[in-house]
Amino acid sequence: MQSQTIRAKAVGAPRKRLHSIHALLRGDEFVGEIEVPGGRYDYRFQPTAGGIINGHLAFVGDFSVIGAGRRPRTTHSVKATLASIQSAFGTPPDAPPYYAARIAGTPESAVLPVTESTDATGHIGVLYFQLSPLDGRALGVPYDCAKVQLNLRVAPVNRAEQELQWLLSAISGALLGSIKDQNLAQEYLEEINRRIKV
Amino acid sequence: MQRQKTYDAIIVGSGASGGMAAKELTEAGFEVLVLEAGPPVDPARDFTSHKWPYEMMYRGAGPPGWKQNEQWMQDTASAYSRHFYVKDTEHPYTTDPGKPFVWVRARIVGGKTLHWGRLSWRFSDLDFKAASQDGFDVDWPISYAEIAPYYDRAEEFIGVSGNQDNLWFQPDGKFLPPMKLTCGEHMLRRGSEKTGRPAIVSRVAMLTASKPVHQKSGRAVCHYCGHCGNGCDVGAMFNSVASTLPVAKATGRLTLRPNSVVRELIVDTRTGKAKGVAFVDRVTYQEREAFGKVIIVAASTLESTRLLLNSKSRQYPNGLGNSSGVLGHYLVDHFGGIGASGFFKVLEGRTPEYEDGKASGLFVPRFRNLDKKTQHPRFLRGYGFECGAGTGIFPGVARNLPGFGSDFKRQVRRYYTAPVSMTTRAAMLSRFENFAEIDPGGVVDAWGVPALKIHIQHSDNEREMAKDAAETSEEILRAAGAEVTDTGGRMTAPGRIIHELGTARMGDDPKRSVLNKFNQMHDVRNVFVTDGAAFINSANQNPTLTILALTMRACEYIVDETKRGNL
Repeated sequence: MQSQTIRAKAVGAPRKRLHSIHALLRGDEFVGEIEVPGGRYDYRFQPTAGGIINGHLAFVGDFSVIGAGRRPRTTHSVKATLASIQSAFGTPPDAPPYYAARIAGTPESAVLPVTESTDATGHIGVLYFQLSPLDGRALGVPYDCAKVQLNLRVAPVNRAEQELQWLLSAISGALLGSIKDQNLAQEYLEEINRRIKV
Repeated sequence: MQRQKTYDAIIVGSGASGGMAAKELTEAGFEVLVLEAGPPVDPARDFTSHKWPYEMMYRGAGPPGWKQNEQWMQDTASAYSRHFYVKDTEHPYTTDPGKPFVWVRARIVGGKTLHWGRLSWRFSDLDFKAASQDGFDVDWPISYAEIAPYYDRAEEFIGVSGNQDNLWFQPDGKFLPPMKLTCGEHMLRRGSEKTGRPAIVSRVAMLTASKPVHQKSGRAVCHYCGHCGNGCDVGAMFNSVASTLPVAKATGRLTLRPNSVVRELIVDTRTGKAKGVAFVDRVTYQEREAFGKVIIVAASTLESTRLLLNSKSRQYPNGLGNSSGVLGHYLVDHFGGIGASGFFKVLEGRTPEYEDGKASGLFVPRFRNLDKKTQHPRFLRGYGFECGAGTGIFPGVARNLPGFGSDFKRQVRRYYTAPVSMTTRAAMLSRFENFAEIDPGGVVDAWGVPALKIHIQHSDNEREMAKDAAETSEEILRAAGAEVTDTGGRMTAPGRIIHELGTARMGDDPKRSVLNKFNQMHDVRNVFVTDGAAFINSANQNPTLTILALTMRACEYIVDETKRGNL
C-alpha cells in the first residue's frame, strides 16, 4: 500500500488502457513505438487510402505490431480519423512543384511585421488521429486498445516527406481552418492518395 | 484500514508558485501535500552545469533527431537540460491551422525554475492600472502599494541582484549588488541614453552576495559559470529545489509526491467546496486520490487552466470556477523576435575577460505610453529591450562567418568580443478571443487526461509595436556606435517567450473574472490559483517575481481565513 495518506482510487483494479501512441511520418508510413509500463513494441501504420468523411480526414490501412523476437502481427482495414492538429514553428515545407507554381504569385502583406510560422508560412507539426478499435491481444499488446489515439509527428527528413507535410498542412487548413473548403481538401487528398498507391 | 488523511492544503505543482506556497504554508504550521506531475530531481545526478561538451554524448548536441522527433516544442531545451522538459510525444495539445502556440513545459520537481531566465522585475501601477490610463480592458483589482511589501519579501528571499534606478514605472526593490556590465553593454547604455531612453543593469534572481536567509538553505554566491539553464548546482540562481522546497521540508510538515499527474479536483457535492484531487501515477498509471481542506492550483498558467476545465461536475458543468465563462480566456504571452544586432568595431580583437560566464545583461525599460508626452499614436502599452554585448561559451558569430581553417579561427577570435544585440520583450493585449479550451476533438495525453486546444494570434496593436521596436532598436544601436548587421525580424509565435499568462484572471466582479484579488476562486472559496493564470495583463516585464509576490500574499490570506474559519 502506498500510505495511509494517499489512497488508491476505490474503483477496483487499475485500468490497463492504452490512451495514446506516438509515430513519425517516414516515407508514407506512420512508424512508432508503443511504450507502456512493462513493455515496448515497434509498430507501423501503412495507409492504403485516404478520404474525407463527415468533414474529417481519415486514412484506412494496415496496423502492424512487432514484439521482441516475434513476427509482425497485423490488423487490416484500421481507420485513422483526424481529430485535431498542432501547428508547428520553424522552417515551412516546400510545396510539391505543381502547387508551388500555383501559389507563387500569392502576395504577402509586409506593411507590418508578421508572426513567425503563421498564415503563408504556417504548417502542421502533429496530426492527432483516433484509431478504430484495436484488439490488443491479437496484436500482442496486453492493453485495452479500444480507443487509441495516434499522435503523428511530421518532421520531414527528405523532399518527399516535405511535400507530404505541405499537402497535409493544406488539407488541415481547408478542413479545420477559418475558411473551410472541402473541394480543395479533396484535391490535395487525391494527390496524397496517388503518392500512397505509388 | 486506516482512515485517509486530510491535509491542511494540497498544492498542485512545485515550480515558482507551488514551491513558494509550500514554504509559506508549512512555515505557518500547515500540513501540506505537494503533487508534482514529473519525476524527482537530484542535482548531483541531473544538473549538468559544469559539464563540457566533450564530456557529453554527441558533444552536447544530443542524439540525432531528438529535438524534432521528441521535444519539438521545448524550444529552450538542450542536450544538457532536456530531462527538465516534457516529451511532446506524451503531452499533446492542439491549435488551429497556421496559428502555432509554443508550449514549453517542465514537468519535474522544481518546474521551470530549474531553467528560467531569472529576470526579476516589479510591475508598477502603469501595469496594474493600465486600463485607467488607456481605456483598454480592466485594471487589476490590486494596486502597486498593496503588493509592494510582498515584492520586498520575495526579493529578499530569492535574492535579486540589481541597482536602485529611480524610474517610477520600473520600481526599485530590495536588491543584492548588481552584476557588472561588459564593455559593450556600457557602450550600448550610453547610446540608449543619447536617444533619451534610460538603460539599466538587468535585475536577476542570482546571488551576488549571501545573506543568512540564503545560507540557511545552503545557497552559494554565483561563480559566473554561465550555465544557468542546465540546473544551477550551487543554488545561486533561485529555483524551488534549492530555495523554497528545502525550507518547507525543514518544517517537517511537507509531503512531496512526484510523478503525480492531477486529473481533476474533487468536489464535495454537499458543500460545493473542493475536497481533494484525483491523480494518476505517471509511472504505474495507477489512479489515486488525496484530500485537503484547501487546494492551491499552481501547475503553471495553462496546466492550471486545463485542470480546472477538466474538473467538470453536475455543480460545475463548465469546469471548476467557470460560472463567468471567463476561464481559459484572455491568454497572452510577450513577444520577441524583433530587434537589432551588430558589432562594436572598437571591441574587435580585444582579449576576452571572462565575460562569457555572466548570465545577465542590460535592459531598456519601457519608454512608450508612460504618459501623454510619450504616447504613441498607433499602439497601446509598451515594450522593453533585453540587450547583451559579448559572447557565451560558444561563439554564435562563428555560424555566420565564411571560411575555414586558421583564417576562420582568427576571424572568430576577432569578432568574439564585439557582438551586441537587442531583442524586444513586448506586451500583448489581453483579448477574450485568445483562449484555451479542452480540445473538442477529444485529444488526450498519455495518461488519458483531456488536452488543451489553444487559440491565439497577435493583433495589429502588437504588429504596430513590433514595427516601432525594430526601428527604435536600430536607432539605439547606431547611437551607441555599433555597426548594425541585422534589424527587424519576425515576431515570435505566441508561447515562445514562455510567459504565457491570464486564463483564470482575478477581478472584483465574479461575472467577469475567475479569482478575487487574493487569488481565491469566486465560485469555490477553498480553491486558489496562484500562478500566472491569475494575471489581468502581461505588462512587458518578466512575470515570475509578480507570481511569487502574489503567491505570498495569497498564502497569508489563506492562513488568516483558516484561522477565522472561513475556508
